[in-house]
Amino acid sequence: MNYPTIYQKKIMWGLLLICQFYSCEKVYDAPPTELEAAFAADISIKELRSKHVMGKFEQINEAKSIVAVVVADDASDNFYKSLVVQDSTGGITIRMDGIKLSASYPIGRKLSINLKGLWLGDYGKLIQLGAGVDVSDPANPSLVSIPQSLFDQIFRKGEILNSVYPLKTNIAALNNNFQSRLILLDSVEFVPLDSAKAFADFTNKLSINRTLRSCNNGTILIRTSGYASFANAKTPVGNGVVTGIYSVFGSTKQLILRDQQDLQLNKPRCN
Amino acid sequence: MKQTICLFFIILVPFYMEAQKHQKTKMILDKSYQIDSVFQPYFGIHQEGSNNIALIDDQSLKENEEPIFTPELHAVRDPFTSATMFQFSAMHFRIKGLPANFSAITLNGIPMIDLSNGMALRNLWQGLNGVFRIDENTNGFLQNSYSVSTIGTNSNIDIRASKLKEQTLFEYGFSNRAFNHRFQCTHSSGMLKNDWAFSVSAGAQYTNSPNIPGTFHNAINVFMAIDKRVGHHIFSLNFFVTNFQNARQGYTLKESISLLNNPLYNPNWGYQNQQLRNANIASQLMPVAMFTHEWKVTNQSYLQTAVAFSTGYKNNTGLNWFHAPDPRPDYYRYLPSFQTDSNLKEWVTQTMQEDQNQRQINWDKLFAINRSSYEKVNDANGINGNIVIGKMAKYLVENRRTDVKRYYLASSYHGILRNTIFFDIGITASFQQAHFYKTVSDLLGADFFVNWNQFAENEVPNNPNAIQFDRQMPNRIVKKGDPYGYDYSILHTKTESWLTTSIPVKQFQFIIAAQFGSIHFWRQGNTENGLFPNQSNGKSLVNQFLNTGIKLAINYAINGKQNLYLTAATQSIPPSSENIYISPSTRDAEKENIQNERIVASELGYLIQTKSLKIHASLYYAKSKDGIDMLSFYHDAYNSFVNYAISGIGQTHMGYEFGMDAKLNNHFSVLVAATNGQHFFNSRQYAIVTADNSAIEIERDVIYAKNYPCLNSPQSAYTFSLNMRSNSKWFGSITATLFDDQYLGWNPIRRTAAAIYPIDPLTEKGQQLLLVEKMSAQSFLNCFISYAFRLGNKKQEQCSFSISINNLLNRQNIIIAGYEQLRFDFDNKDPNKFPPKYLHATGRNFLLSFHYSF
Repeated sequence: MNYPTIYQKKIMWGLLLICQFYSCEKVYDAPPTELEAAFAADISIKELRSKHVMGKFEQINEAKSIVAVVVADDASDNFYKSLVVQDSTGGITIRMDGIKLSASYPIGRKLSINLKGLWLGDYGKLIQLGAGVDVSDPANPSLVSIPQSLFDQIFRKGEILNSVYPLKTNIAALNNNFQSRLILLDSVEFVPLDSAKAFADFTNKLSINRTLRSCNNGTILIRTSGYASFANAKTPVGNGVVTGIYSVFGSTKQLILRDQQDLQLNKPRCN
Repeated sequence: MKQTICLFFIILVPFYMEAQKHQKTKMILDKSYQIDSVFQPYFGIHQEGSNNIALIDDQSLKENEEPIFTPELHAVRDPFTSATMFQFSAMHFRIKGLPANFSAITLNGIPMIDLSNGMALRNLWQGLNGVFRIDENTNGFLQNSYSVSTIGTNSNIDIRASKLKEQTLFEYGFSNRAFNHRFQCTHSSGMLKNDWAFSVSAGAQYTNSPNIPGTFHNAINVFMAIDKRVGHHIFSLNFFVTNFQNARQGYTLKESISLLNNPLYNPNWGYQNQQLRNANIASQLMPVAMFTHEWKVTNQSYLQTAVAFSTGYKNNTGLNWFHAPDPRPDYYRYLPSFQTDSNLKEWVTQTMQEDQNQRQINWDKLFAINRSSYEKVNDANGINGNIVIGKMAKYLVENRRTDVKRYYLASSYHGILRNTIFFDIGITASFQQAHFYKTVSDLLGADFFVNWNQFAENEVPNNPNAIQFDRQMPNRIVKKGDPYGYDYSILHTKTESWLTTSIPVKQFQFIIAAQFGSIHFWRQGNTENGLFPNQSNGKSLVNQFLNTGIKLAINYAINGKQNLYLTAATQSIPPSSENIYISPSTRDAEKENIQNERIVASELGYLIQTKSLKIHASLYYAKSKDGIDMLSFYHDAYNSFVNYAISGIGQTHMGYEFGMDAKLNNHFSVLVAATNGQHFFNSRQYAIVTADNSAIEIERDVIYAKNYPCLNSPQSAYTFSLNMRSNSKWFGSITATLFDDQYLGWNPIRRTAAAIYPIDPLTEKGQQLLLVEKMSAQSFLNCFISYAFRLGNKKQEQCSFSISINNLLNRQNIIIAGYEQLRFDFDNKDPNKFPPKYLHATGRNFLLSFHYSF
């Protein structure tokens, strides 16, 4: 039992060394980059929209899918719990029961949307896609948003396009076929009463409509949520180009901005 | 309660009569052989040289079956303590229901306490249980000759080389518990002829197929000790370290369990590239070096001084996310119960059951999101015009790290006056610096992260200064390994002096213990937080608290085998730094009107100690007031993390404890332990609510806590063991244990007017919100078998095999503990929106052990 301490010390240092090696962190393999799925649509958005009768709700029972690009997300919080997607034939608003949607579904994201089990409905004549019908208030049934746990089952993600091009049009030409599409209006400006005003009531979190008029006649409302990150900013006084998502409330034409960059009003006003 | 007390005395009387028959011996004899080392002026119950023919002590065999973090082994075996240490450790049982910071543990006389919360630092020697054996243990109401006494249990462990059993030991264990394999080699030389003593021990624990999916426990430990005796002096050096990594099991919702029909569902892990990965891994590396000097001043007195130094880290990993949905699979919005539409409920249920990625962390998805997350950061790293573009992490794994340095000094003198009055007097001093910060552990496929506080964004929108965690380096780009987020230290100094005397007067022994201490602590901020630039950086005000304690005990030796004792103690416990700073990660703001917690306690006990019968029975009572706590959680009504600074916490603990170890004959013995108590809050509490990211006081609440049960320990526990020894080789035991009167950890926020209003507390809905769930009683049946034999003729060369099987009946759905989530649905007052979470025990489990010693 009486051997030299130097021997014991060697063991100790050896053990300490092992200890050091051991304490290395486990390295996990990074998964491969997402494979870009090649999508093929079964029906177009225009066909899908045509299945809807205003004021009614329709469930889609066939295993069909649309292929679309996200044109508006919730990054600036002007859109809340909804995504707007479009293909070459039209656009549609999807009610999503989740926040921070832009993490998975940023503008430009190509999506294949499996329609089976989803419902069509409208809110003030704006056609929307949801996952059910809430009849808790029988006088006012409404579309139920798609639960977050079902996103991965319903939406297959594809590549992210660098840019999404708006459809150039004018206020007079806008009709329900333009719903939920990214449009561009030229030569527009805020009416004097709504120029240099806050986009919305940020303090009380209330939405506000500001009227935009065209030099060539016609007006449209710019509706902004009180939660939007730019709600407190002032509407520009100049004239120019505006991009946004076309929306309706009944027969009222509305344009919803995705962020402030959608307004390029830096030219002199028209008189 | 009255019934229990009566019952208690009825049980006691026959034992008392029986013990009277034994011949009287002076108890003072007991310690004469001990005076050299442990020198214990009475009171522990010593394991005398019994006619134990076992080669290996059966308790020590059983001790190897302990779970990972359990208390140490006990050389002094109080029958109640033995039972609680092994059988009651299956649940989160606490002796007398007392909070953990009411107990203390000393190593060579040094109190090994985390100064920030008063908890014993047991995991510093986790795995080294064979060496760290408690040689003195008192239950707090008794005398403690090693340090300041606390109300709970006080234990001392002597780890000096010369005090360790002389042997070379190889151990191997195979188990389906927390680990699969366990190795340990120990060599202790004992005191050699040349007055040197050495001891070295090293071991490891490893998991390759865990019984709870996604968990593991891997650890390595080393222990070294050298003693040199020079005349009346013993100089000792100790070094020990354990390094562990522990992938943890999460508390789960009842819903998840019924959905998946799996009580061991663990939401903490998921697959990454087909490889299993747990997001919550705890690790620690904190070596301790210690120098001890013992000077035997006279034959009857000695002076022991020890200094220790420890430095290292502990770390917990966790997921963090920024502008992205919650990645935790059991987040309430992802569960079927969140759906109101029955079709959707069904659809979500089916998705959860069928898709592994929906019920576990979907790492691949987190990577995909990070890889498509292009962001532009202006004025990066505080440089104007410096633009960084790239993949900014929306999800990351962070290290929540604490780097700790500790220095300790303890010195005590143990002597005897006029050959009768034993006294121990000592001082301790300690310093602790804990540095809290976060680093990026894994960017999950992203290029960088920015040192921004996302919660500040909601609080003070569009203010580029407010979101900075560090205003001196705004918009700092952080990469893997870089620190980010909070960065501060809490520094403590603590000194304490104490005195214990024991004065024998005929058959009585009077024990008086007193202590006086002071603690200082302060916060040292290392960054200037954007929200609190004037309160976050630099040194805060220094807090100072003085504490005192007095304990009186009378012990009446009925005869040499029986004692009756009565103790009374009063103590003040200074508030801990963990409970004082409202939000230490952002600022140095403190609670108002802080004061010491005050405790009074008393115990009446009866002991029998014979070769064949050991009994310890006692009644206890303890009452505390002015305790404080700090709770932080996400408040739905304020949309923010909030801090509830709770004060005025008072608790009452009363009940009985009974332990008996009876040898029936040379082959059979029984070990019985029972405790039943009432542990409850005895006062209303007060809460001051502030938001994490704002200095404004939001509200003040009264918490209607009076008569609510104390948290998370069964208040009743009973165990019965039958031990069998066929001859010197075989040993077996079978044990039944029952736990009852355990309550869910309840949420104080729910017991406020703010949470309840306007619901009438007397209605069904009101009761549903206020009543605390009593958890169902749990029972375990365990068995243990060992076979020991000698190899060769050498007396000390021994081998043994053993198997221990716990939960023999393979009962599933055993709930160990549970708590109500702090998050509460203030809008609809629905207690099921954020339902309670539970921790489940595994089914039948075993440990096979092999020991070889020479």
